Amino acid sequence: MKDALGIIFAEGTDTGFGSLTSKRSLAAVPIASRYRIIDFILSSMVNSGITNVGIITQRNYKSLMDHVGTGKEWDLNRKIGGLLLIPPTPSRDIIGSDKVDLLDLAGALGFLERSPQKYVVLSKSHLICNLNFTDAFEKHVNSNAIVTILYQELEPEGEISGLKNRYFLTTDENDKITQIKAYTSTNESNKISLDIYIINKDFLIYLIRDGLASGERGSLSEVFARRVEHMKMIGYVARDFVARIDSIKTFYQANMVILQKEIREKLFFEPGRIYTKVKDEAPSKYMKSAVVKNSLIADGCVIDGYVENSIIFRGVKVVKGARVTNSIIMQGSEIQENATLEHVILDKEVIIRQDIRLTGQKSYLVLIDKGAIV
Amino acid sequence: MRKKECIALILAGGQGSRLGVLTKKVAKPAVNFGGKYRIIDFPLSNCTNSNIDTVGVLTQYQPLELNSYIGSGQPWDLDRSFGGVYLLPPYMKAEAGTWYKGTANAIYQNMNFIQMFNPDYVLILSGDHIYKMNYAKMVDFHIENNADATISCIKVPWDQASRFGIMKTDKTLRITEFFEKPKNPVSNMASMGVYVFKWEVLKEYLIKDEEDPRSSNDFGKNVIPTMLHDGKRMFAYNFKGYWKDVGTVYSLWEANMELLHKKPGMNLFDRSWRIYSKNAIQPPHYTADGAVIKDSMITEGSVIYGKVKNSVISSGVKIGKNTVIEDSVLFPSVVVEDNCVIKKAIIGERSVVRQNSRIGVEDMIEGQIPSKMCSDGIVLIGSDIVVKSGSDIAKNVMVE
Repeated sequence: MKDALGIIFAEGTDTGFGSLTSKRSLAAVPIASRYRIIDFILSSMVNSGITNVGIITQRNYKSLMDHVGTGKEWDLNRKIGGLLLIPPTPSRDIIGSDKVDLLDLAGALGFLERSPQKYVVLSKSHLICNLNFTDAFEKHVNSNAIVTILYQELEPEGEISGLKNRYFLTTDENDKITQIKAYTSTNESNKISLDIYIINKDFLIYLIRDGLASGERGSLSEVFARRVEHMKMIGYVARDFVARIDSIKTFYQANMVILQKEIREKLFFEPGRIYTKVKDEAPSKYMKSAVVKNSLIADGCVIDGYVENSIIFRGVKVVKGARVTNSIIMQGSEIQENATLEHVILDKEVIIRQDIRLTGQKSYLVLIDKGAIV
Repeated sequence: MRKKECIALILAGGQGSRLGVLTKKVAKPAVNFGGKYRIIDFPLSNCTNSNIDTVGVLTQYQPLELNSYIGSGQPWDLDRSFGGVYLLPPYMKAEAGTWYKGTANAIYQNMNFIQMFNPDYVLILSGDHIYKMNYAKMVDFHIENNADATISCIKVPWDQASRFGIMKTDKTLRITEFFEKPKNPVSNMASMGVYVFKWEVLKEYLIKDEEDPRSSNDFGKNVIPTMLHDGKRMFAYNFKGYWKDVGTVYSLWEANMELLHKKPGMNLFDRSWRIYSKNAIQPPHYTADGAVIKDSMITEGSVIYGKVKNSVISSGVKIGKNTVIEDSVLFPSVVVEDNCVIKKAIIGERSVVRQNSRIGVEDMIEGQIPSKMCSDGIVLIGSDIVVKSGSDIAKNVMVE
């Protein structure tokens, strides 16, 4: 896939995540014990052979900058290509929306024009997945399509919530897309767009320039929907595991689903590995009273308490007598003696003092801000 | 001319033959330690943390794995444009080329490398020890004393003193006598094989030593005694802290076990003195319902279904249901299937123990000869070994 460059849109989501995204973009939210959300799509691109990636930022991108750095963990610290962080388009910042709007892409014009690649793989950052785009890319090139949209097939009885703002595709027998439509209650298609696109670069540049000149606005789905009848756009079905993070609830679910063996083995090992910033923590230490069941634990932890069905990040301390169940405990937090946490999300570096009891519900999680002392 | 005040050279050419099958394919400094480290991570991380950013690693035996491990030096922050880490194997010169004959000869053969940085001081280290040390403090001590050479030393038990270079000092810590591996030690101040030299002085002695056909070109046997004899200013630097030679199977096992103590001599969790290592790119470890883990260290990529007690589990290890692991060290990517019992074993990288096997449980039956490498009941299994299901491997056995 040397002829494709990657663009990741690191949306600055402002609603639905509470304090998790008050100081960081969604792309930089910690997930799965040692990763940030962006690691999955970025590693997918790298493992597919893309060596030139631009990340378009919106608000609060300091944490994201700190995380990706020069891109060395993804082997993107290159002389030719590599990783480029693209600052937000200035006028855009005020409007605020997590849709990939044409105007957001304007900041990437220089990057697109300068790059030698002829195709663009474009995605948002909020997908927890391990994808290889090689096959979709070959189909795109061989079919002479202008745009390829990756989609998944919804189970007939699949959940309806979270489908608002999602786009559905209708395709003919040759995978040519005949219609792109936002979800409505009368929706007939089961092909739900992943908002991952393979686009001919010249066409994307044309769209951005034309949009700037004519004032055309809207998400890429909307822009493509307006043109689908006149252009060859094809659909490509991705059958891999993909979790989409668009709320605290889906964030929690995506963490918990990784406790399942089949999903874990696929997500972390096939078709490639998931890279992240290395922290050089020591191995985790289990002490005498440690009891751990069905949990994911990163390095640098000291566990002497009870942990069940939980996601424990790097450098967490669970002291003797403390109980953590169905919870997500982020980096550097400490749970002291006889504290009890259930259905709780602790942001980084939280201290839960002894005998404190925090109980949430599966449908209503307790979220504690970064650095808080409870 | 741009220069470095002090550069380090790590002697990583030791064969490590007392580690048996563990050094069959890799050099001793590349042997795994503590779940996610290799022995050489300790001197390399010490250099980084001591602000020494130019390090030559002198390799000789089985260098492939060590070379690919160190690579550009990025994990230790040693990928620098001026300085950084250099791998220095013996090479053919215009007239002739030889293997490194001894520790002093190894440095002699790399004098051009050292000269490139025109240093005031040269720090000589060995790649065989587990310890955390601030070399910058030792260099400061060397400078304060206007010393020609400074030798780092540690008090060892008297009964072990004859295995080391032993020194005696006056009140100012100036060395008055030095004996390499003496039969009847006069002191228990042992050399750790960590030296600081004035480069100009060392250069002169390396050349002199090379010209002496009777010399075995070794620091402890030749260079240090000669310098002392010539009245050079040589000082002993007292090191206090954990320092462990992991040259034998027993000492390697013991050093791993010592990490599990409630207050371990070597604190790997100290954020101000991190030990860096090459990242294995593994997900967090998974502990299943039904797993029991006590007094153990577990690292990324491991999947634990069984019981683990007092053991060190490296990255990517899989431990099956109803399996019991006790007092053992499992190297990266080892797989132990269901219903096994493993006691006091070191198991090499990527080895597989099939189900219903027992390792290190039974004593040897009469007539069996224990391995020369193993003692105290330790079982040593090499890398890439498959232990067939239902096997029974007795104590003190080495499998290669």
